[in-house]
Amino acid sequence: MRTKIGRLAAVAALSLSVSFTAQAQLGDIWGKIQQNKDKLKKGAKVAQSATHEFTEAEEADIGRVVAARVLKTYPLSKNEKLQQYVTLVGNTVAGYSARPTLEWHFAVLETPVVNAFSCPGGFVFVTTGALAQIGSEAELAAVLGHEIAHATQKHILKEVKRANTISAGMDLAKSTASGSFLTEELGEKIGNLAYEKLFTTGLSRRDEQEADKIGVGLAEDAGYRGSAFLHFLDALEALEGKAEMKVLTATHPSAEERKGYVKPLVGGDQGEVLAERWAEWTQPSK
Amino acid sequence: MKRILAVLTLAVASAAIAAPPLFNTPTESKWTVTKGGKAAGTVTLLTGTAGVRAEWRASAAKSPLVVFLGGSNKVWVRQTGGDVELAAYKGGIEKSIVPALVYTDAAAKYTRDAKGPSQVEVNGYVAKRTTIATSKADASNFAVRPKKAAASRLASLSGSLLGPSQSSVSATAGGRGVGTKGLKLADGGDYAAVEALENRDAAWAAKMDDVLAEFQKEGKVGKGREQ
Repeated sequence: MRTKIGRLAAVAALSLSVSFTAQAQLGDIWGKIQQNKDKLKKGAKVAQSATHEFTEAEEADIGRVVAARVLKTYPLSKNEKLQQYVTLVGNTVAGYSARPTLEWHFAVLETPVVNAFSCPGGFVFVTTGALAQIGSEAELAAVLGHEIAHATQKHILKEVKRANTISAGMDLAKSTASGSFLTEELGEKIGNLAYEKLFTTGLSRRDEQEADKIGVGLAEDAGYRGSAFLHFLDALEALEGKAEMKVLTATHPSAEERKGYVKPLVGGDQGEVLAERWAEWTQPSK
Repeated sequence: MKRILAVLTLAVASAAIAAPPLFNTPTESKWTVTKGGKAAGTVTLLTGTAGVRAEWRASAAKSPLVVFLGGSNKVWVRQTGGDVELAAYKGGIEKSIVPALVYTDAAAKYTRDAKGPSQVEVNGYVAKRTTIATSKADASNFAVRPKKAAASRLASLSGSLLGPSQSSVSATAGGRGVGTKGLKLADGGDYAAVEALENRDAAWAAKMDDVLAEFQKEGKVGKGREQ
């Protein structure tokens, strides 16, 4: 009897053990399934981020965030005449871009730092430091053409996608209290990323080269002399090593390299230079 | 003090208005211009009841003719598309000497003979009259044709081309046509500056097409090349 009971107990114990093991195993499997599901979800979201095509409204909102960072760094110049001139030249060149109807905003930033910036959605900035190195309207047209090309080719947006910034905190379909798809957190992340790209690490060399090539082409299409851009690059080369060139040097290919690939593209003596008009508009008001 | 200033201002204004041409009768005179004894150029000066015309040609080979006109007590320079005021003309050495032949200049030294001024010294240049004769030049030689008002406005570059920036205008008055109007996030950016920029462009938008067309036409760029 004892033996029978013992056997029964042993069988019970065994079946219990099997049951626990099976349950544990099932639990493991379930956990793994859950983990894989999470991974799949995350992967899908990353994939969504990497392939998402921003609408023009989303691009405009991101542009506003990036422009706000740029304007936090350097203030707008109070020189109304200069602002108007840059706006007129910018709109002339943008009219020949791939996105002529984008809501373009051209503005001058007050800083001796030599640079120009492009934000998504059509915000284009050029510094008074850069304007001081320019000798003609054709040079300005090429500089603005470069920035316009960054915007039309969506170079900053590409970086936003590449960094998977969106997957970390957004649901593209969901609207926030501000009415934008951007949350405060996401806005800050995008702002930080754009700031890093614009002021520290720069865009890829490939994007910079593309912007140079498209930019000088836009200036020529608008009727300006493309070779004027080489004069601007000469001026940059002469300034290399100076404090006001630090950011530009860190974020762009060298002037020598840029001249190397721009030179074969420009069309000789064709097109307007408008050095006199440049001087008239940029000389201090009497 | 205010009265003294007013009298002085009036005196200066009167002096400017009173600046007479070199000759009061219709004449055609030729002048050679030198600096330090070296030939710089020649001037043909026409005076008439309708105005003054001075044609400058520099001594260097193939130098273009530059026409200066005196009208309404101002000196004008003929350029493609119309005449511009002297202040808007960049030019070269002619800008230093020819205006003193169009109207008498307080800063210049005039030597006279029986026929009128025969030598003018100004800014280191010496202009000597070589011939003078009665002129029958008709009034068309003296007609001033200012560049079109819009182009002149562009040349004068007052900064009010598109109107002043109206950064105080509400973002909703201008703002963006796409995206979230008035979007502001507490993310460390200067959204007030972005709004000011958007409102500036919204305020300029009404005039932008016309001004841009004139700007492009003047510079022969953009669509201005096709006009």
